[in-house]
Amino acid sequence: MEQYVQEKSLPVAYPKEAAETHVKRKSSFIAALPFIGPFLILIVLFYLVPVVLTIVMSFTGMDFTLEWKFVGLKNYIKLCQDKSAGIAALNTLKYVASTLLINVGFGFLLAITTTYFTKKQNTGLLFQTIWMLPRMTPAVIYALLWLWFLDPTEYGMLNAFFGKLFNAPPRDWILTSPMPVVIIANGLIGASLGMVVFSAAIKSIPESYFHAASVDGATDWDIIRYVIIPFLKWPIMFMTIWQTLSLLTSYEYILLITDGGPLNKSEVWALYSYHKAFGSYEFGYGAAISVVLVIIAVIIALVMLKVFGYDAMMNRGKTKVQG
Amino acid sequence: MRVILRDITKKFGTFVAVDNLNLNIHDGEFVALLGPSGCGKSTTLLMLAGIYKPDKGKIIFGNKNVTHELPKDRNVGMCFQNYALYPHMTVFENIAFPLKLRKMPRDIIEKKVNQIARKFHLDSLLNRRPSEISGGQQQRVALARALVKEPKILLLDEPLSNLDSGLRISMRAEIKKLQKDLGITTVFVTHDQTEALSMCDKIAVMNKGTLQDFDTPEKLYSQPKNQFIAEFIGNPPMNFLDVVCIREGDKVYLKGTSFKIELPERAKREFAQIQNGEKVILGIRPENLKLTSEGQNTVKGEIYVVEPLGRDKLVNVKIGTNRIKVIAPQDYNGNMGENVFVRLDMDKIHLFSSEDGNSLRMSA
Repeated sequence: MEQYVQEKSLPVAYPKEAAETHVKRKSSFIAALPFIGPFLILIVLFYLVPVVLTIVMSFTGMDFTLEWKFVGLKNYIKLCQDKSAGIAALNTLKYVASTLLINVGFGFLLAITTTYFTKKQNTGLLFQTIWMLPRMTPAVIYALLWLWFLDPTEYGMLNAFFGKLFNAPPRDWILTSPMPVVIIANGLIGASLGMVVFSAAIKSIPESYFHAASVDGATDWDIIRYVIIPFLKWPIMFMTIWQTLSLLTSYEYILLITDGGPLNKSEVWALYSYHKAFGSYEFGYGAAISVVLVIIAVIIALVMLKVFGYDAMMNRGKTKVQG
Repeated sequence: MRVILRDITKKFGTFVAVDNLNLNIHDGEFVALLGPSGCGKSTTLLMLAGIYKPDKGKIIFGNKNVTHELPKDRNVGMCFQNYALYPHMTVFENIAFPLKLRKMPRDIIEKKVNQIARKFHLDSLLNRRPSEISGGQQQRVALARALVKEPKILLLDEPLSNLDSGLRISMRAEIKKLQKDLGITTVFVTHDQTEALSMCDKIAVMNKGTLQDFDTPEKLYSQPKNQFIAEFIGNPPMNFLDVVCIREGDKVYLKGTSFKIELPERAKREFAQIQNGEKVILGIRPENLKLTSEGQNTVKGEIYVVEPLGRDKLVNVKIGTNRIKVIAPQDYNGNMGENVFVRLDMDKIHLFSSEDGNSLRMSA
């Protein structure tokens, strides 16, 4: 009531409105604080603080003695001349691009098969649940399953399979093709997220669009191309950004399956940083490698959001239908 | 093209959506599938389109059995309740879509789309997206898209439900005119009996998956075959009173809780099959009732509420435990709680069996 009287006494319309919105914004921020506060604290504690520490650490020559000896840009200069870092950068590019293709492309394929082509909803759901299983298992177990599957002896599942089928001698898959192994292992588990997101988006397209298209003479392929993909534009873009960023920083399956080997053949940037810091105890150098990754990730995120349009993505993410 | 549905049955699991449906639609006819939601009318339409396959029975277009043909091979145009216009395509692209799928050359597509756009007054909107045009315009785009491929059959699934009431009434006339001009066999699904009555040549009334009757609007209105049709068609709906038939010598009376009225000669002939003492349901439309003073063959009641409708007044009258609606002239000035007498136009009454609801009219 007080506020109301105050506003009335203001002479001009425009400042009154401005003052009002200002008051509203401030009070709504205070109201929102209890809700976002806990997460804000978590983000500051576990994201912002480590980033700052890493940046500071990257200018030190910290080793197993854990002393903060500042060395200026020495780590960064070293990184520029490091041949292994070059290999890791190239591997990361291959790894992210290929896995992204599987995560988004194969995820989309799974979504289409389980929701569009499988008419029985329960069958589709069962299939989706099976694809989700690796996500519910700890990373170590998933990696162990792959190691067992790719076991170099004739008792390895893949070797046994090829031996029975083609009478082929056992192969050491991890030794001969480490990159395909880590890409497929990551892709198969990553695709399930895309599958779930895309399935939900496909299900939210009203039935009448499919009916209209098939009455108009569309084949299944036409429906996918002219109805499903345009409707899924925003979920697809979102998944692409999300997966690019998470793949850039992911290394746990690679660590567990190949450990970057053999001979750096599957060493990616994030894993290289880990190896430097926790393998050879060059904490300062490892931190410098991480900082480069953070900078690259931020740049990629900004560019992608600019290209795709962040506001549009947040607003149009929902499947909108007129009428 | 004529359309024949023969013994069509469609089940979803154990639920029977359409039960043994037979329809014979002549070439160029405008037919409504009318019924409450869940009566199987939309399922029937989707079977005509080829989206659902019937579990039993045959669908014949012209002389061809199309029961197992895919939607794309049936050459039907379809219009949906939500219009189903592709939001990522312009109006032009939406209308051109069926032609594009047929891989027609670009210049022919352009010619055809422009032609039909002019017909539907959409010329100036061709570059807009569906979200940038009004509901009525979206409806016209949907119709243009359905008709651009020159289909032999047009299927309309509640096309007017999403329009506001004024536009709905004008589109009603537009669609009827269009259908007559094109002479295209049209099947129209609706739950709105006014739409069905005002637009269509014939109406198939459906309830719980079964066809109740398939006839002209006039016939369905004046001689409903059962109580469901009588109640569903007509606005305000028909009134029903529980009565007992009493035969005394030459005379036949209908006796209610508080009244006893005599059947005139014509009604006596029409309902000659009713036995003495048989419980029946008397049906009479609000417009065939008149509020009068006490007299012979009148029913006494109490005014429950009066609803002025502009052109006339709708008076709700309580008779015993039943409540009936009576149309009264605009200047009628009865008040709530007053006693009134209702005179029935006995030549316009309907009598239904209290057991199965079927009409007891001899000719029916």
